[in-house]
Amino acid sequence: MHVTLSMNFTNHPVLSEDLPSVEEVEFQPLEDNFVVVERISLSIYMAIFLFISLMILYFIDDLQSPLILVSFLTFYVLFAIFRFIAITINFKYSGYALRERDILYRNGWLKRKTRVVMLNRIQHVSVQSGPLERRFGLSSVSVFTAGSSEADFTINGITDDTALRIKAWINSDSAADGDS
Amino acid sequence: METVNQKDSWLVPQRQSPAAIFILLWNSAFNLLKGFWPILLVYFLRDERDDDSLTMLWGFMGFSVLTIGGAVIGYWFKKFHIKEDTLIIQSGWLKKKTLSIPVHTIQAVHLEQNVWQQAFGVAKVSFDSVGSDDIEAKLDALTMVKAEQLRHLLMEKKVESSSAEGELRQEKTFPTYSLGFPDLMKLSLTANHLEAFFILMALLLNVMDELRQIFGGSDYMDAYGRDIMGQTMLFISSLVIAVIVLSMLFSIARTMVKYYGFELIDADRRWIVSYGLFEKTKKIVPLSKIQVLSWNANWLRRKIDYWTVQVQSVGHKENKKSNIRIPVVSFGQVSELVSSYQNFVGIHEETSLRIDPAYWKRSFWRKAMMITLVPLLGLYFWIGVQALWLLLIYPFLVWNEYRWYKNFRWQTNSAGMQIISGVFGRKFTLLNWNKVQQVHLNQTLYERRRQLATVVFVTAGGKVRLPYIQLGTASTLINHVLYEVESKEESWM
Repeated sequence: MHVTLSMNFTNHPVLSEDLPSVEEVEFQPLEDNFVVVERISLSIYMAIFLFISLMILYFIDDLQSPLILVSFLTFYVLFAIFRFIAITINFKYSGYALRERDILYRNGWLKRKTRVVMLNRIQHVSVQSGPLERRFGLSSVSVFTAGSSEADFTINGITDDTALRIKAWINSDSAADGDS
Repeated sequence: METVNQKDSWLVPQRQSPAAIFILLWNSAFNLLKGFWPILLVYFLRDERDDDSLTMLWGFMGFSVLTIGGAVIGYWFKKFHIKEDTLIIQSGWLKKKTLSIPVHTIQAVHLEQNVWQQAFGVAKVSFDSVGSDDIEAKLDALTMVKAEQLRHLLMEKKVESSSAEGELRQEKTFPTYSLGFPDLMKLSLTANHLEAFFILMALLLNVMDELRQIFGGSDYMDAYGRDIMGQTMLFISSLVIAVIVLSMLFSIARTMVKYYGFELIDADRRWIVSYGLFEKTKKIVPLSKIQVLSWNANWLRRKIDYWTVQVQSVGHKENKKSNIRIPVVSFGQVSELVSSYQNFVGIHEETSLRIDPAYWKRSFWRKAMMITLVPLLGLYFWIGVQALWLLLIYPFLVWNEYRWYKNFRWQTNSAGMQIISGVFGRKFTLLNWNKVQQVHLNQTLYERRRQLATVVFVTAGGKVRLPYIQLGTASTLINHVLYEVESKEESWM
């Protein structure tokens, strides 16, 4: 694709090859502690799931057969391993990048997503942290644009300080842009 | 002076028109009747009214009184006013709720009239605001004069508060076009009769189910069903034909009633759309709020050059009842209409781009797997090898996916992007770059292996997706869109 653009401030044509490229962006990795938080969260989730499942097995006599028990445990272990691998690979790939005019976030394992939000389109930003995240000094930043009631993306696994700085930076930049 | 007084009158919290009591009562009664008609039917049809049915009737009456009473209280405690550029709607008795909608966030004010509202000369007023998925607030019955005043005032205040809009524009109105009786006939005859068929079938099944419950178990209905099955093929064929004819008539009548008196007025960068025979609808769409425009036609409508334009404005949600659809009687008119958003002269083979052929193969396998794993396996265990007949759908699936891929084309211009897609019918989609809120680049494992990517443009009115394009092209496109949005000070609404 070869696109010639006319800019507002000069008359010189700009070729698409000269435009800042998303491919060349260097992504900041997430904090190492984040993978620990994710693994602990997974362990808690799996423990609760195991507890509920065992209670069901205990109280419903019809389910107490070796076949069901073995099938369940096999599924449970495989699922836990899959989630553990997914968390590790996702962590390695995840990252964010702040540029002058936009913010990028990428994550995913089997399906990788890179999301770009222009600063002049951001409606508001929020910073939050759960109890586990707080224990490790981590926070997350959610970015909201128009048209959706939920966050468009959330950068997890960054320090409290970084989260607040990102929030302040986005607010100042999007305010400076003064978009409607 | 009068205008000042009118404005002042909105500062005081006020109730809706007293007609709202009747409208609310009617809605409550209608809903109750819809929910309890089988019980009433049983009560009135049974010869021996035993204690149970009497208790049931008393229960129903008690519940009715409570609900109707609730509706009246709801009317009494619902008040609204405008204070410092904010529309405030207070409601509730035990649980009080105050809804504050800043005027500048209101995207559109809708006036609607069903039969009763027309009879009382009132209208239902509802509001769309930024970021909301649904209509956030509504007033069930305001007199037409008040409703028009409120709409005018809100729109006026909105323009005042919007620096981008500047001065209030002069109200220049002229009809863009309307639908005559022949147009309505064309629209009705080519409507989705299949949809009407399924609606009727669903209705019929629902009624059957209700009756089955009423007549205590399945004996009576099963016996009746066996009787029907025992009839001749002629009877069954007649029944099928009758249902089909009825579906078509129902569908035709539904479309005629819905779009009766359709008119679109282009008034100073706004579209005012009004239509409806019994339930009159009037919607205002500021052109600046339109995020994505598309128009489509099924196979039959393509042949008679009849298109439906779909407006995706801020807060648009797929399958939402309040979505705006505009029937247009020729492709030329569509091009003229959508030129307010983006110029469209057509998508030509030489200038447009395709998606990667891997898409249709992948899509076929995905769908084939779904069919094979769920219905085919289920049917196999149920009816045996006969289930393999389902495999005959595979060639159709291949053809369908291939045709979709072949027909999908996209192109860009300085303003935005244009897409054409469809198998039998066609759908055209226009997206302006300045409407883009964010861009996604997605890659599945399969796409990564083939250096492909799916690009998704997110707007405040929905998403536009370009699947399976070359990674290099995707990157160039994204860089270009980011440049367009970030370097220009164009407002997205």
